[in-house]
Amino acid sequence: MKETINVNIAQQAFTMDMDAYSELTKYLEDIGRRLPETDTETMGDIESRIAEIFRERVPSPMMVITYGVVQSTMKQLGDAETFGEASRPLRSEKQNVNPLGLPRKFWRMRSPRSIAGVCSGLAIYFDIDITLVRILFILGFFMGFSTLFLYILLWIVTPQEPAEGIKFNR
Amino acid sequence: MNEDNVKVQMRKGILEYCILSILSRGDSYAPQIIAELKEAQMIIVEGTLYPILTRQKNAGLLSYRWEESPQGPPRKYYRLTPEGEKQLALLDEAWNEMVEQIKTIRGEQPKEE
Repeated sequence: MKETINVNIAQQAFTMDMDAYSELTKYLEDIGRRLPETDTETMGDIESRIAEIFRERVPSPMMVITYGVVQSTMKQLGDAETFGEASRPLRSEKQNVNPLGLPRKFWRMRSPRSIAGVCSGLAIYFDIDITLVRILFILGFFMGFSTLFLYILLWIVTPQEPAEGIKFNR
Repeated sequence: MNEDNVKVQMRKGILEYCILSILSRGDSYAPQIIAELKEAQMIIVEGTLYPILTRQKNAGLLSYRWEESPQGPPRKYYRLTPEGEKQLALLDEAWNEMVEQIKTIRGEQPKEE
């Protein structure tokens, strides 16, 4: 049993699996980023085409649009990368967004920190255990790798996490 | 740059020309244009067409009207504007010139004196 969601694509109703829905949302977002900001028309055309392809592949409105259908539709339309206009640079480089919706950025953390917050920054960025990062740094130092130098370098070049109260997604 | 990439770049350059050319034979809607381009192996994926159509429309080369379709929602039928026809004539000329130039460069044709 799977959870589904009802969506309206180009004024047509579709029932989609949740995973299919989130895949399609991601795809459309990615394309939107590569088109000029004012270009809602192309977006509409593409959505119409997606609706059309869905109807071709899943003729019955009772049937659910699965992940596989979304994937084959995306394949037919082409990777989001193909929408990047050769003459126009991408509006912004892809932002890594963590589940909280904040852009993933490498900060030296204010807390937790033992020295400068470099290890915790790394741990949060790569989503690994902070203790592991610290052990690797210390171990690396004793084994003759220049992790101490690396630490100091990162200390210098990495900006500190903004103080609380400052929105850091802008 | 690998071979495929070179071809992709070349095709991209002449895609706009191809769209105008297809529309000069009669009004059409996106999926039909796509089908023609696919048959000629000009494109492999469909999506790239849409931004180009919008751009050409905004540049005044194309106009469109909504037309009911036998199945499903109404379709956008694109047609060449007089401006678009002019542009196509220009591109035709440029294309012929380019083909001749390449021929000359490849030595398939004696150079004009």
